[in-house]
Amino acid sequence: MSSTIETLAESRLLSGRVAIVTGAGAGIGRGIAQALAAAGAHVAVTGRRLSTCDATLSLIADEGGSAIALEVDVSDRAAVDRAVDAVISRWGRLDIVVQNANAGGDSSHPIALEEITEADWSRQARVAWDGNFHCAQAALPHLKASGRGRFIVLGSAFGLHGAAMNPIYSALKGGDRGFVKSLAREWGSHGITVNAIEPAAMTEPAEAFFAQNPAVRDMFISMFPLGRMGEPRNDIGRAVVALCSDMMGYVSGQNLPVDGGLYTAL
Amino acid sequence: MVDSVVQKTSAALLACQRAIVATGSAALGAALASGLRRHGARVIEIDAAFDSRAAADATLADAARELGGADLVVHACAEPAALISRPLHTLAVEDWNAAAHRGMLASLYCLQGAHALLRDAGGAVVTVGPSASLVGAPGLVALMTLAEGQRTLIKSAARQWGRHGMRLNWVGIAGRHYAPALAQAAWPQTPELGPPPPALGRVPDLPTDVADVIAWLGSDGARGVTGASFNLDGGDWMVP
Repeated sequence: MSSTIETLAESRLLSGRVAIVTGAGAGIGRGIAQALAAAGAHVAVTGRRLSTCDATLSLIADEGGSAIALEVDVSDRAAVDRAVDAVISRWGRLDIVVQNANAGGDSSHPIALEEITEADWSRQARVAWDGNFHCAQAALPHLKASGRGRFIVLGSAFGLHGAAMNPIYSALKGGDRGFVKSLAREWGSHGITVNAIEPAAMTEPAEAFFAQNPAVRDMFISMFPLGRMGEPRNDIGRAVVALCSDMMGYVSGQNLPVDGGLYTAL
Repeated sequence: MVDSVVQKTSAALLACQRAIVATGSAALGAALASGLRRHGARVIEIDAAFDSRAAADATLADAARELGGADLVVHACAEPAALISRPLHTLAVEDWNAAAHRGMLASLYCLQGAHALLRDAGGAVVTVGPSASLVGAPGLVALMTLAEGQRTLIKSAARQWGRHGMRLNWVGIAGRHYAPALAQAAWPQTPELGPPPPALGRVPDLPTDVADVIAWLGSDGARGVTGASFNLDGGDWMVP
């Protein structure tokens, strides 16, 4: 009963709106795509591998959602343009962009700052920062036309406090903060909100790591005031749904930790 | 009491210390260098527009050799493409690449060169950025992305290199001081309805106000400070 009520409540929030979610073939991106579809949005599930996007598509279809899968490397501007064109061709509008793509496993590998090369930087930055840039430029005309456009970047608490384990990833996520705050000021006159979410959620790689390191898992989980790590669909995805809804239409330029109370230093 | 404070802030915080000021703006570099010299430091100014790790290592090593070592590295750098105010949707890909990626790589190379100089005996690094990066600025999305990326990179470096006795901090300054090209940029206004900000009635200047803070960060008095952000806007936004 409760899940039916929740589904009904979600379905009213974004009914008829059209969203693109990048990096939606797994993890947090997949959870966001599922949540947006459950809230009534038509969702373009994009990622570098069509097979993983198709898997997300199946999960959405199982819940009766509306979605398409598109193979998109966000570091490739032409690919981003083609994806936006495909969405417009299919649904005639674009209201929401969730830029979640990052360079997969590269972002979780420890690296000494003094050993970082240009190739190390580019491998991650071409996805994270160029993805923001390409998606913003390609989507702007359609988000303006929407009248209630939403542009959301998936940041990280690492971008707030830095990270000894991965200085590239944390610098990119810190840069996202400057990007979001500035673009929010730039696009406000178009009625477009621009925000970032800093999630903490249990993803497949995190589960695999914790399975091998249960003591680290217990220590890490103990840091969360809510006593658990987030779940991509129901915790992170629903926060994105809320930001995309009319209920949060006056929120812009913000970096919102969705992390069970983990990071409270803002 | 006031005389006492003035006396203390005029004291030489960097006596016998060696500082390298690496900036992309000659005016900024000269102003900061003059302030650090006032605090007793021996200072060399260099161009921070490094296009490779090798160039940064060599340039910083040459400067340190001339100084007989290095205790403080001050770094401020943004590519010219980042300093032009314009809407993001009009920014060409090559300008985005220069502003965001080349700017970050130049900063990374500078930090790596500083690490090579300071890892054995410790020392301080201060990265200077536009204070508006803390609140965002329309027309300057690429610069603000770069600046916040630099500020976060400093935090990660502070976490990694603290064990070497290295301290790394960030100082935010007025955009027009950061780069003359930004004098006409549309900076966001503080939503303060009382007396016009900044609270101190003026924007901190480079050779005294800003250099004094950098000198303190380079001095032993700041030995417990690393990974921190100091926004020197005279009490405008009052963040972070």
